[in-house]
Order: sequence, then C-alpha cells, then structure tokens
Amino acid sequence: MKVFTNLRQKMKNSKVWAYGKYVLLFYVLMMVIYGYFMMANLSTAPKFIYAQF
Amino acid sequence: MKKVTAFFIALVLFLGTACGIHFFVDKNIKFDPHSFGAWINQHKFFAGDEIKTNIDDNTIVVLGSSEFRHGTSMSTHPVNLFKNNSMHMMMVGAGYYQSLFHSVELAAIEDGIKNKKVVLILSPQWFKKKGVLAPAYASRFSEDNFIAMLQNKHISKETKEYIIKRSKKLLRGDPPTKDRVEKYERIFMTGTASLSDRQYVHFYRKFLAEKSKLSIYAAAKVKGVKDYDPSKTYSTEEPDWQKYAVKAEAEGREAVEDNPFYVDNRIYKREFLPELKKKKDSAIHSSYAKSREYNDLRCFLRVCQETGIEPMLVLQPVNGYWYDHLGFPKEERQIYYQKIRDLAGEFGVQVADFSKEEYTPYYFIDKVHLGWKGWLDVNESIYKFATKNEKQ
Repeated sequence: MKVFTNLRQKMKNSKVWAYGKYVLLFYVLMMVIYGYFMMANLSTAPKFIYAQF
Repeated sequence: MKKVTAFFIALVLFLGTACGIHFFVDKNIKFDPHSFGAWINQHKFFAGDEIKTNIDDNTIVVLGSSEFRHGTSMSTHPVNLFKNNSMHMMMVGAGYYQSLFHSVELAAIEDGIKNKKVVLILSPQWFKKKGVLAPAYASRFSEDNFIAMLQNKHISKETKEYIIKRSKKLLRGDPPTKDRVEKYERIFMTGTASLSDRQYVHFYRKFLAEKSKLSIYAAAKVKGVKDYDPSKTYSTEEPDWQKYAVKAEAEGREAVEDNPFYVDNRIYKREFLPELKKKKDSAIHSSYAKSREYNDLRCFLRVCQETGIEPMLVLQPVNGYWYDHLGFPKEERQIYYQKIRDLAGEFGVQVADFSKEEYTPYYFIDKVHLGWKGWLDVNESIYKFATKNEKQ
C-alpha cells in the first residue's frame, strides 16, 4: 500500500507525467477510433435473415 | 499549449503505430493456401486484393453459395478431400451469393487468377422469379470489389452498365450505399463527377482497402486460418475417386439411417419432420423457367468472356425426393436444366451436368445442399477441369 501511495505522490509531482498523461490520453483515444473504423461493420444495409429453401 | 503539443506528439505516435500495423499485416497477409481457400467468411469475399494475394498456380477459384458451409464433416467435402492435395480451392460464397455478386467478384480478382479458370456452382434455388433478393444483395455488396470492377479495363461498358443498373435497383433498401454507387458511376462511367466527389472516393477507396486488409487479417487469426508455410508439401496425386466413392456410400448410409429422403437423419428429424405435412404439394405451381437470375448469369459469362477466363458451370440437381414431396413439377426442373445447358452452349462454356442425379441416394445432406456422393462428383469434375491442361 505504501509503495502505491509513494508512486502516486511521485507521479503527482512529476513534470514528465503531467505532460505524458495527455500524450497517452490522446494516443489511446486515437487508437480506439482507429480500431473502431478498421474493425466495425459499417454496412448500412438492412439486416437480412438467411432462410433456407 | 501543453495539451496542443501533447496532441501532436500523440498524433505522431499514432501514425507510427498505424504504419507499423499496415506493414506488418501487409507482410503477413499470405496464408496457407488450403486453409485460406476453404475459409468461408464475408471479410474474405469482400477483400479482392487479399484473395489475389492468396491465389497461386495450383489454385482454382470456385464460386458458389451455401453448399460450402454445409456438411463440412463429410470426407468428400472439399474442405477435407483436398486438404493435403496440391490443388487448392479458393471458395467464395455463402447463402444468397449469386451470379451478380460473383460477376463483380470475378471482375475484381480476374487479373490475379493465374490459371485463368473459374468454376461457378449453380444452385437451382437462385432461379426463382425475382432472382437475387434485394436485401440479400445489399448485405453482400462489396464496395471495394465494385470499384475494382469499374476500374477493370477488360470489362466492357455494356457489362458495367448492366451491373450498375442491377446494383442500384437492388440497393434501394440501402440509400447511403446506393448514393455512393451513383458517385462511382459518375466518376468511372459518365465522367460527370465533381472534384470533391473524386477526392472523396479516392480517400474512401484507400480507407476500404486498409479496412479490408486489417479486418481479414484479424478475422483469419481469430478463426485459426493457418499461416503460410513455404516448406509445406502437398500430394500431387489425383485423389482415389473409387476409394472416396466407397467412403461416401458408407458415411451416407450411416448418417441417413432409414429416412425416405436419403438425407442426414438428424436434419430430417429437425427440419423435415416438423413441416412435412405443411410442405406437401406446396410448390405445385413453382418454376425456375423465368428468372432475372438468367440475365445475371449471362452477365457473369460475359465477364468471363471479356477477361479471358475459362469458366465451368456446375449444374447441381434438385433433391428429387424432396421436390417430389413439394410437388415441384418434374417438367419445370427439366426446363431449368435445359436453359442452363442452352446458355452455356451460347457462350461455348463447359458444364458439369449432374441433373440426372436427382434420385441418387446420399447425394444430398438436406433439402438442397450437396451430400456425400454429390460433393464427390462435383469435386471430381472440378479437379479434372483444373488440371486438364497440365495432363494434356
């Protein structure tokens, strides 16, 4: 627990982290949008249910 | 200011990652030819460029529909029969993938087909009056392949116009896609597109190409499609058809048990029995004699002609026992078979004609899909067609 609180304090005081967290946030956001557009089914076709003869 | 610079650093990192993914996938998009060819997945059908990458000298492109997905545990299903053979089938199709879709697909991939041959497995059920259903076509419409078809210089203006006209009609339930098709028409056909339309399509095509590459790679990994192994060896021997015939008979007998339709008994209990009474003589007035599908098939054959691809049509029979139960007139079935033969004759195209097998036991696994003996005959005809020049 102490290790965690120490780490938290260190991060709070760190100038690199203060800046890096925004870089990380924007990067994750961009990757999520990219992943969505690359993997999502973007078809606007109405649903078609396969029915066997 | 701090947030703005953070945004640009993140953007650079993101672009670096995206480029890394692009090059990694590009390098690893070639899969095991049998594993990829036998993989039935819409991502694959929509990705013409990736199909071309996975076609080699021994690949025969086989276009069909739902038969690929049914009965994959039978030893005569191509998934199993050609597993270790040097001839690989590149199967394209699932339920409701019909002649028009295959025309577009073929036009998109023809320059990647090394042996210049293609097989189209025709299902009689495609030839209902309306042909392909609009919602089915819309849900199976690949814009990537459609644009590739429009860019194909071997395809005549008339053929493209026919495909565009049919597609626009069938896409009426999907206005955004229909609008884009009209945009493609303005760019590639009439030349009346605005600069913004051209820029939009240029960007959208690149986006679609990237999307299809990534999604096919991810889907193939999830579904366990095997990686390409250049050291893997395959048997160059022709399959022992006699041995498979004995196997087909034995497997068929065991699965059918004693049902009067000679189909898999589990399917008989699940799908036939509950509606046996209701379906009796329900198709007395049915016919496959008049259908829009004939013109779509004609379009497919024109694509073959214009691109120099040699096609073989596989004329599947109907399940005679089931169609008799439906009351579907025998004369009407003969009219359908004859119309296909006539059309093939008109284009000088080879037909693997199995219309005489309507009543062959174990030919079907269910009401419409090929079974143990059915697949065996079809596979043999495809193998002989694919390898005929090598033997001559």
